[in-house]
Amino acid sequence: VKAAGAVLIVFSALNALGGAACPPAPQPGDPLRGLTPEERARFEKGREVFARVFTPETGLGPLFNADACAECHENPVVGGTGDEIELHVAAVRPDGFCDPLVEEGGPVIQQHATPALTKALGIESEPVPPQATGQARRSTPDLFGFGLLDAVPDAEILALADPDDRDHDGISGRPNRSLDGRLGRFGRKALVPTLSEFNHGAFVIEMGITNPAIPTEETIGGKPIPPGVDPVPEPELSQEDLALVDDFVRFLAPPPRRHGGGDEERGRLVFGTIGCAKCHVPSLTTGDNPVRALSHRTVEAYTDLLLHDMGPERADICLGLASPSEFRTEPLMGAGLQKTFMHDGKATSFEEAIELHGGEAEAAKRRFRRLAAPERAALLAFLQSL
Amino acid sequence: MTAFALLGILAFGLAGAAPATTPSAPAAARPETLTATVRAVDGHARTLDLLIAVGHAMRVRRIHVPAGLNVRAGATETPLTSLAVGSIVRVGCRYGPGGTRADAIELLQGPGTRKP
Repeated sequence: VKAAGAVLIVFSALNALGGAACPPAPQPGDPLRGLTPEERARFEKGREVFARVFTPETGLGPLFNADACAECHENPVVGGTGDEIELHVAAVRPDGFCDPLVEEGGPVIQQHATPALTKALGIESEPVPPQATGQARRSTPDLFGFGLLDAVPDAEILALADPDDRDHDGISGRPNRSLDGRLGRFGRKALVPTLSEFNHGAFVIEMGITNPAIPTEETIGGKPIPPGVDPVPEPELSQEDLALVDDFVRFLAPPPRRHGGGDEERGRLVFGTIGCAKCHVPSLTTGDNPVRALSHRTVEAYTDLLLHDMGPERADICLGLASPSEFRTEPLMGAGLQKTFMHDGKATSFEEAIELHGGEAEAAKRRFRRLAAPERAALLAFLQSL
Repeated sequence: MTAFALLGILAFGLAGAAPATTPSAPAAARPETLTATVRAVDGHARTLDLLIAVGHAMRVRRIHVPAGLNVRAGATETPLTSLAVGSIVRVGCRYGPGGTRADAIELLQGPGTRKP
């Protein structure tokens, strides 16, 4: 009995030591490990701003898609995904230029209007410009781990590019660039270079909340806002609140891996064997970063952040250098938490999502179709574990 | 140039940005630098429409180009009309009576390629 008691004590002590050395993995919505107390405090304050519900009296609209960041980014927790689908437009001009139709209200077409705007113009959403040569449905991505993606050096992404398919593997990832020429990485077409810019733009295009980075409202289909419809002075969000939201999003941890209900390790190998990992590159590494929790970290994002041709059936809009059929490889971290998949939310299962791949992914899709049942089950279990 | 500096330029650019047809006046005539995509070139009116963005929030900024001001492209200078739509330029400019006036235009990148 004494010996058993001693073993129990030693085991408990080791367990306690192990617990102290290896705290439980962050759950969805948790902050990154290793933040300073000050960073952790800003994360918590930022979450409050992220969840803040705006009204016309606090700046909402006059056109908007949602009244809070967390109205869309809500599942399974604040910062997650959502079931909203929004509309983007663009036009490929005869000279080949990709026109985001800014002077006609694009590229994001807001689907709601404040009562004052409805009263003034008799509209309940922004009209779709007739000049659009393409329309795109866009689902809500979860934001878990995006701060780590933001911290990946450009050189690491560019090293994965093979625009002319020089290795003849049928995969030719290439970078998009922002309107000022920097490497893009955020958004379904990889137009946006940094997470902060993505956040700042989203306040305006999604909620009509002007901020110090963008102190002018969106137009109403290219026309100015009628007088008196949006009386809140610009900017409608303070610099401090904007920075807090940046920190909340930046410090969101990647979701933990879960049990996918099968042989995930075998599935991981199948994922590589059939070619998925050519674009859904398993991991990227961050560079130097003033935030220690973001510095020199490996992020298992399963993306190369590059554009790939997904085939003519998926084509919707151009954006920057991205053609209508080119999309940035969607990060798969957190995929197991999602109910719908693909940039437009069209797929409701991993199998459907794979079947919707074409273009550069056509060969991998065919190999998926030929998998024996155990390999297929293992692959799906692996995806569910992400 | 650091990402923060570029972000500052972008934000500053958007602060004065408005649809090209309805320019809004910044508080004071101050020099600024815009790095943006050329959306349109009008050689007759000597204007340049620039696309600028913060995230997916985009604006068009119309720039008036004085007669005689050329585009610097590396070591050479080329006329305004040689600028291809889709190119990326850095424009030194200032807001004043009649809109935003360019002081210098530098070609940074060509229009790039988009797959058909």
